[in-house]
Amino acid sequence: MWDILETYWVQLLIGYYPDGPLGGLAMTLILAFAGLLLAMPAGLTVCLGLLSPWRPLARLVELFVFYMRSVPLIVHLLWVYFLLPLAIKGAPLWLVVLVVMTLFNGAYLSQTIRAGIEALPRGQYEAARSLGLSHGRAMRHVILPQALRNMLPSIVSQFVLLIKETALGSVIGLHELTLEFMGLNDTLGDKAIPIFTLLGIAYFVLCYPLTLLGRHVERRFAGPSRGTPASGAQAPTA
Amino acid sequence: MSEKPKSIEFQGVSKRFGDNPVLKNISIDFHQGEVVVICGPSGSGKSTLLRTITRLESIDSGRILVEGREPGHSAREVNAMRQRVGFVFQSFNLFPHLTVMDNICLAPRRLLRLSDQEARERAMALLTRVGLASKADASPSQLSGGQQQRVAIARTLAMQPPIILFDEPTSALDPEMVGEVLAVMRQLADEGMTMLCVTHEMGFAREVADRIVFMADGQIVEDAMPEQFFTATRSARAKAFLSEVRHA
Repeated sequence: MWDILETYWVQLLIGYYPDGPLGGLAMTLILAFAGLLLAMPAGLTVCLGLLSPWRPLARLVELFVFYMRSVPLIVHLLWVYFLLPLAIKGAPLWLVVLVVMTLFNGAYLSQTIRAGIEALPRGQYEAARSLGLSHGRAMRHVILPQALRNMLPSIVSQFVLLIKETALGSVIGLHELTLEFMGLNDTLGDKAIPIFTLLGIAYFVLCYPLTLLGRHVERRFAGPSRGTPASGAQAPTA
Repeated sequence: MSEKPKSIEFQGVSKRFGDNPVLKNISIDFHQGEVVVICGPSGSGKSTLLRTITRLESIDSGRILVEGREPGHSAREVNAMRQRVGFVFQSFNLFPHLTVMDNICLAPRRLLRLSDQEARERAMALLTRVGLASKADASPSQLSGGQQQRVAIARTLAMQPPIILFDEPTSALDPEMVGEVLAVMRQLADEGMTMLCVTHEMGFAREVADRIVFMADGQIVEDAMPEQFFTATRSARAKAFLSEVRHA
């Protein structure tokens, strides 16, 4: 099994670059990183839209999120695969996948971020507004910093999901890690089991350390940043 | 006292939560420099009364004037009004992700456009006033409840509001910490701050308040100077309340 890796490691790492498109592990990682980089602001924007005091906007954004969450990722991919080239001539495959991942994960992240915001005690927002800070400033300086800090473990696990999602790019022909291995399978014929075992190991090696990171972050932030005093306060009455 | 300009006026204010009427046609005026204690049994509407002033709760009818004007409904006007009317919460509500210093400096820097230097100087002066100068770089989670509430008061004072509302500021504190917070409030009262305090601390009411407003069932039942309220209580309801508080 490992001899396959020895022979084909270049292709698996970077596809046919520079003689062809970039592919393999490099493509998977770049796509996952780019996806996360774009999905975070997308998720934040969607979330702020959801929480907007202007009802029509909030409704519209709700519909968007509902749609993204009701349709399987592969269907989103197929849809954008056919749609994007109409808007952008000659849109490359990686762009199709990036757009879908940004919107899809943006929708899911918005729920995570909203959960983080709503988990904060209402008094935080009230105190910020009571000082005269606007809604926007209260969110920016008081609410979001706390919510994002609390949501860090969920965000890390979202990144793990992103890495796994890139595998679906193979369905539309994107040369990421899974497609490279599938190509290898066609080339070598009878070595399916070792090939796909290696593929499994590859994703495991990518994702497991991140999962561990997520746990570590979770433990670190489960600590005293909760605002409860060291002593001298009881639960509020009246 | 009635010569002084009016800070806050309630004109026929009513509010209900669902089917439950919580404020019933309240009309009352508060004057500049007055220290008013608002007391009464749970559910009497006293916290709600305070919260409607700064629009933390809406009202169903009537008007509330702040410094002679009814603030409009635009965010800008509401925010401007809130800069003039400080609010101290029962649960302190310090921002846990910021140090004590940053908690106090946040609003002055963003809203009053104070420079970093100016904001820090103001904050240190306030921390010294409330006796917590050494805690400037601490995080709220490292402070006791009494210390947190004093920081919360300093944070409110940083905006230099002419009026401060206190919503049961000591109710969430262990008894031994109540005194330090009341001391700060007394200091403010002596300096002429306009204060409306919802509290159960009758000792504070007796010694510091200019006026005591007793509420029950969403209405103002009694409104008198402390001496009269405690020794010549008029209403049966207030009498019952006082006897319970004394024997608590």
